Amino acid sequence: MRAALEPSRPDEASSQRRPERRWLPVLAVLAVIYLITGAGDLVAGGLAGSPGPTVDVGPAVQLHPARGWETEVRHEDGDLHAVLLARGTVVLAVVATPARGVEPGDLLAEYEAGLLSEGFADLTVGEPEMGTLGGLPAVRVGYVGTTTGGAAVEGFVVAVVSATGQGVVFDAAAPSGDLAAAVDDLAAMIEDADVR
Amino acid sequence: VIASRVRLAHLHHRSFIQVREPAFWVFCALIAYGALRIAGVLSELSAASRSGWALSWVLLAIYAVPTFILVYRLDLYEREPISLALAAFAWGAFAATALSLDAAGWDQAVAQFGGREFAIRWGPAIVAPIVEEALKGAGVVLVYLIAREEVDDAMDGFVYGALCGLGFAVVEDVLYFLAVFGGTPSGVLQGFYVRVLSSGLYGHVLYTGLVGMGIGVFVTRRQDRPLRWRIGVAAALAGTGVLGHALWNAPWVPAMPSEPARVAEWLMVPVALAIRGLPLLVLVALAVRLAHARERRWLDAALGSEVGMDGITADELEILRAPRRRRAAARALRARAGRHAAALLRRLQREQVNLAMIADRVAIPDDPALVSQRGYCRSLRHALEAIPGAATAEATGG
Repeated sequence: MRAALEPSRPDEASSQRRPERRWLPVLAVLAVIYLITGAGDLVAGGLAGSPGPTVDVGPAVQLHPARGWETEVRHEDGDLHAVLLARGTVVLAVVATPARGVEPGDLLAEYEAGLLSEGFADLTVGEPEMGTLGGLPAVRVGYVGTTTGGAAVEGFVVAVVSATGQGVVFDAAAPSGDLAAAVDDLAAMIEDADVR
Repeated sequence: VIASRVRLAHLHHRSFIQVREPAFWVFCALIAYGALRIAGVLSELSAASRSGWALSWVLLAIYAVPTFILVYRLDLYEREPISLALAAFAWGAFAATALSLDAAGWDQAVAQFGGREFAIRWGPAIVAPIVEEALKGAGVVLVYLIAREEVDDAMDGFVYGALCGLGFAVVEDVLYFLAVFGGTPSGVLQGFYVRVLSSGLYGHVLYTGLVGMGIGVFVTRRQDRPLRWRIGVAAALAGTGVLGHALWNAPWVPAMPSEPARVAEWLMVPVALAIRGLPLLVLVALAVRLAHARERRWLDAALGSEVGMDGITADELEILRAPRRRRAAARALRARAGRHAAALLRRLQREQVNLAMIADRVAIPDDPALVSQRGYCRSLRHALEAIPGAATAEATGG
């Protein structure tokens, strides 16, 4: 609190403001923001088109790709079915295989030791977290690594085993920094996947 | 007299809330959008580990609070209004991060034109620096448009830019801890070691500080520099920030040790990151030093003719121009004459900085605003001298 003897500012009561509204520079800033975000979306939209048709991963899994996601690779080897969806630099690999009596954690460990490790010069995997996916027990783990090509990659894996014994692994990956931009799409595609 | 009053009124520290400024509403709308967008992404990621999510915020607060204070105190003479500083931080944390997520289409464009392998290796070095620095820089421009009087030199631009970068870094780090390092407590600790302890000095604070400094130069040197010079210097500073960001993101020096990592490999992480970040840190330190020297020259020029008049004495100016001496004088006075006397001394020093700003703006030495401010400083000095124990020594701190 100010002491009684202290002087007050000579301009204490002043509260003058410029009367004019200055929209022009604000509109210029908005135009720059739109150019950066909107133009990127326009480019992406032009390349992406409309949401693709549903994608079957073997007989027991059906995916609903979000807008801009395309099927890049299909692979079948006996009971093992795999599809690689991609949008720009982000990929979602979905692997379906029979896993009757197998816990999601064991399925994840098997995937981590096999398919996930391939292609990485260095790989650091976080602690698995238990959860559910569509009411089924699931396990999720994040990872970061450097590919044999020298690219820093981030990603996460979700493993789930259906009541009928169908094991499914979702592996989302992107160059470091790119994954967060696709988290919404990835979450929606994983959650909306039909696992029979 | 009215003109002088208007000039004085502009010396008031303006708060962030300026309902008559269109920039204020645009700023608020984009922060609200960003907060919702980021909350959605974070809630999705935090589902994996609530404890890791909570630990992320605690650890980042330990880093962000002192960094905020450090950046905030960089301005030697005229600290920015705290509401504007917090607004810049919030822009970086919410608006710039969310809008950067919305600009993901450019990653796809790079992948389309250069191929996926190229985009994976070089996309973060090509797209992210331009997009993120432009969006953070837009926040600094909006802060300037909200309170133009508060950005009056390059250092102010640096402070607002760096705070914007700090906000961005905090939210990006949380996203990394959750999405890249697994989000578990051990993963979060690992991420904190790599992204904050080992590289916290080099990141967004520096890049956007330089961008902000460029904006500061552009908007504050109208009087003494031609447009071409201002554009050139601003582009060079902002370009250096973008280039530093691009070099940091370039896939040249791997930061993460290979698994299973030995202790020695983990200890090498800060070294690897220093190779990437130290040159820019040195450059920014140099730029800040030059900006400080310019601030001192400005103070000397503005108050040189005021020494010996009512507003400031030679001893007071000698203390005023060195922040360390200012703090020492306030500490000594507090020990001798109490907290109130120290507060009054700090107020006198603030008003003497305002005296410098008025002296710098008026055309004649007996401008009513200048005379009035001199009188105000004198009255503060008298009030200080009236406090027992403070008399005669309040200026020198001795």
